[in-house]
Amino acid sequence: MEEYNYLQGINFMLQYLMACNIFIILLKKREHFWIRLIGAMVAGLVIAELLVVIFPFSTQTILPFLFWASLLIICIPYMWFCCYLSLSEAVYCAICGIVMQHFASEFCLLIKLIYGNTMWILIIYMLIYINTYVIFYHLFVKRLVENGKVDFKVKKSAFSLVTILLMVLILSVIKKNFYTNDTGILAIVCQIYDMSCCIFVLWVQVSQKEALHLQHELDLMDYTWHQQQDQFQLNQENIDIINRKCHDLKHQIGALHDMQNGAKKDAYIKRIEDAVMIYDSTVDTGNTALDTVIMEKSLFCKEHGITLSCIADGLKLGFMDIIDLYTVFGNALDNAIECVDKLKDSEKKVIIVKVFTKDDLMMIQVENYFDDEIMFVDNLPITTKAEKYFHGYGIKSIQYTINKYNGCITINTERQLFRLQILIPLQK
Amino acid sequence: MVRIAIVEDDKKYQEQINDYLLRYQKEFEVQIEISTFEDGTKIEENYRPVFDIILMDIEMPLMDGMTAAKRIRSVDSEVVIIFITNMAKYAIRGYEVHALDFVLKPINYFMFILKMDNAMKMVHRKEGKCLLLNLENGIKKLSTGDIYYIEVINHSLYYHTIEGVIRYWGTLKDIETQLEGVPFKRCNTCYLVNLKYVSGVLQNTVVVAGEKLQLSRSKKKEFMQAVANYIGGIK
Repeated sequence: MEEYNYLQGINFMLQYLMACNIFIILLKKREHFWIRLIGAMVAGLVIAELLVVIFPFSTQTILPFLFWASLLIICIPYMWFCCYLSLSEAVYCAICGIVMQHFASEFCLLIKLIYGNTMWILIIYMLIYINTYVIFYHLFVKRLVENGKVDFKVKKSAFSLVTILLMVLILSVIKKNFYTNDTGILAIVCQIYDMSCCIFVLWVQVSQKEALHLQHELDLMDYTWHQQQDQFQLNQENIDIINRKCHDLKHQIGALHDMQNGAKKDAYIKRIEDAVMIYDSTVDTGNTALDTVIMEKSLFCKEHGITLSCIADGLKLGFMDIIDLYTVFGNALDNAIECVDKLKDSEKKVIIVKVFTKDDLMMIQVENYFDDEIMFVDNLPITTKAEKYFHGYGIKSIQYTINKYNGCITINTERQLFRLQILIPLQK
Repeated sequence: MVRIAIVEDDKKYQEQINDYLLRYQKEFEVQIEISTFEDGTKIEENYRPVFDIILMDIEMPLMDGMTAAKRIRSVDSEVVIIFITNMAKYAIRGYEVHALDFVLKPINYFMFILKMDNAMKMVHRKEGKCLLLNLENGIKKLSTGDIYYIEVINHSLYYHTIEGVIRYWGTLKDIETQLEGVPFKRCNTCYLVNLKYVSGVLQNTVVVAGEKLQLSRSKKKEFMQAVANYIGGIK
């Protein structure tokens, strides 16, 4: 590429930044995105060009390593500046980006090795870059970026990332030093080698991510299955309760027919009223999904001598998905019911549910007494018994759901009181 | 000393609540002063904001609890109101008068003290601290409850308060130790925010008294948890 040496800095930087942009397409963008993007691109290009002007490098020194490394380092703040990323996420995206660039540039070299310098070479290079980026976007980037976020485990990806750096920054530079004048078959093999490595490394990232996904889904399915079983049992029990009450009612109404007016009749009517009261537990919070959960759990509570108190401003919960509401409240209440059900002092079997807002912040609070020791892992409670794995999972699935709404969970235990709090910022 | 009013027409419940409060006072070693009213009109007439907590029955013959609470609210925005009712359905409307909670009849002692405990925390939270600032034109007494947030620029502190901005020498670290026990939390290196005035959290900003302050990524989780604990009434 000696013929356009003078724009080398800009040329390479542009290749890197475009690779980053392929990621940026899918990432969550900061405010004034276009201004940021254009400003950052111009700044990046200027810095890269200055680097080349100030430190003109020959391929025989250490400088090429530093040059490629500094291009990579420019990419990191560039991505961070344009998108909502943490530092480690920006590093991750930038490194994956340079793999794409590396693949394309090696491809170009391969073509050059095979066909030599033709008059169409620049156009061919352009086509290679565009096609590589587009294909990589569909094959890899789309799968690595999800909902505007890159989700990766530093520990699991570290090895691949180091490999990339080694390949791109060191091995390929060394290789170029040795084979600049060699156009033999070995050079071609080297190129193909290098390109396959790029694909392999990215493929590892994608498959790692998919494995994580699968694991999560498996956990969820496992949990759902167990929950369905519990649900079935609960429904069975609810039907029994209602059947029994209906049976009683039938007899009481029958007796009422044969009765004279008077105090006794009034007392009877009162008893019938009480019996019907199982449905007075009908809660009206202003949110039907929440009503359903509370209603269902309160029937169970009544039968098990648990007092459930709920004060909820359900109208404010409208922004949440029904399934999410069901997950959050279902799990939180199951958790609480399980806790208080074990208490020896029946008076202490109380659960308080509160939903209220303060300005643009929504608070969901579930409080109950507890008896057994609660252990914390990652600030989330787990219980000592193995069977309670699912119980711990309940909180996990609340956390998973709440994350979607940028909420946060806190759990406090003091004086045998267990308090689960969920704070969700409301969007205007 | 916490002053509690019981507004309840049914003698039986009146006594029960009274007993529960005495038991609570003994178990948790708090000083309580109890006043009893038989109807909404009794407390609402000539109401003066002397109570910390009002336990209010909803169904009463002359004036129902909801109406009484509304009238009391119009003159006393601070008092903590807890409704006592046998109809859960009323509860939702409690929000109209910023009721803290409701207690369902028949009253369960442990349920009752749990709710009392929350109410107590609300009461104690209102007691802030006072800072003494040695300003050029004399000593200024600044109540922590009046501070929106404190900003540090170079070596000066800027107190953003209800009355405006006050500049003072000092470091955030010093002020942080002074404010221990009062719900202040840092949202990044240069802001110490009064959680009382946090009205929203966006992607990376906190809304404090209408102003947007940067929320740093490393402090976000801790800050959100502090807000949760504040709103939830734990601290």
